[in-house]
Amino acid sequence: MRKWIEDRTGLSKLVKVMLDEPVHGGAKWSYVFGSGLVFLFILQAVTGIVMTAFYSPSSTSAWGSVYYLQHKTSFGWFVRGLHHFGSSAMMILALVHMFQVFIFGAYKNHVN
Amino acid sequence: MEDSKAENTSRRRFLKIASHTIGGTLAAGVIAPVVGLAIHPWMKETVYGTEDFITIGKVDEFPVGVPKKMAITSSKMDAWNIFDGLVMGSVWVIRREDNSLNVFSTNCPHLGCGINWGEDVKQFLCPCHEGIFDIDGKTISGPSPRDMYSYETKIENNTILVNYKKVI
Repeated sequence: MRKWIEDRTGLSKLVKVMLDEPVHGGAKWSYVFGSGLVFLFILQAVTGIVMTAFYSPSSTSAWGSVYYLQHKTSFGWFVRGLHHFGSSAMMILALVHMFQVFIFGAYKNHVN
Repeated sequence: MEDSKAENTSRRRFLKIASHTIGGTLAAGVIAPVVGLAIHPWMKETVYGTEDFITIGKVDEFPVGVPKKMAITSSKMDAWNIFDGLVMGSVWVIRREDNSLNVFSTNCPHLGCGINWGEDVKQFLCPCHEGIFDIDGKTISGPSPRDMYSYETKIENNTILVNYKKVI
């Protein structure tokens, strides 16, 4: 089963590329922001797509549909919370990541 | 040399297991609620309001001994959508002197035509095949195989409620 999925998706290869990314000059905590941004982006996309299934974009039912999502569904409040705070966290991480790249000079062509 | 290598592997192993456990727990904590929300409509009832007794009016609105035709309107709530005033059908309501009630379907048990009240003859009359019923819904003549359909009713706070179901 595992091989069957692997043959068709190359999932473990993708995970390996993402997790075992070689870092020049050794791993540092200050390098986590890029990966953090990728994680947050995926989180925003997935929670957003799931929540669109519970949203009705009309002037009469928009409020009601958000109320339903927040109070009547299973974990709706939690997923909406993830999306809400995730958006703020993304802005913060994006800025931190930008400064990190700038200060470390990571945009420069690397010379060994 | 051998010892330090063995120690190194076991520490590496421990850190791997520990980081995978912590990471897996955190990931599951995020993934499980998202999946739970996505499958919510399959797991839980989202439509309310069509199963219960339906209010058709105050007892005083119905004259004693004279059948009155009432439309059955219901409201339904499907997730956040509210459907108000859905007309589901009609019933004949007869209030007795002791305030007991008979509520009959307006559909003839023969072929489902609409039954009228003939005030001049004090009988229910089906126009399609000349079915005739008395004020208690009993078949007097005509092709109807049964008496008129009767609904379960109750009176709460002077309000009449009918357990309406579509019979045709």
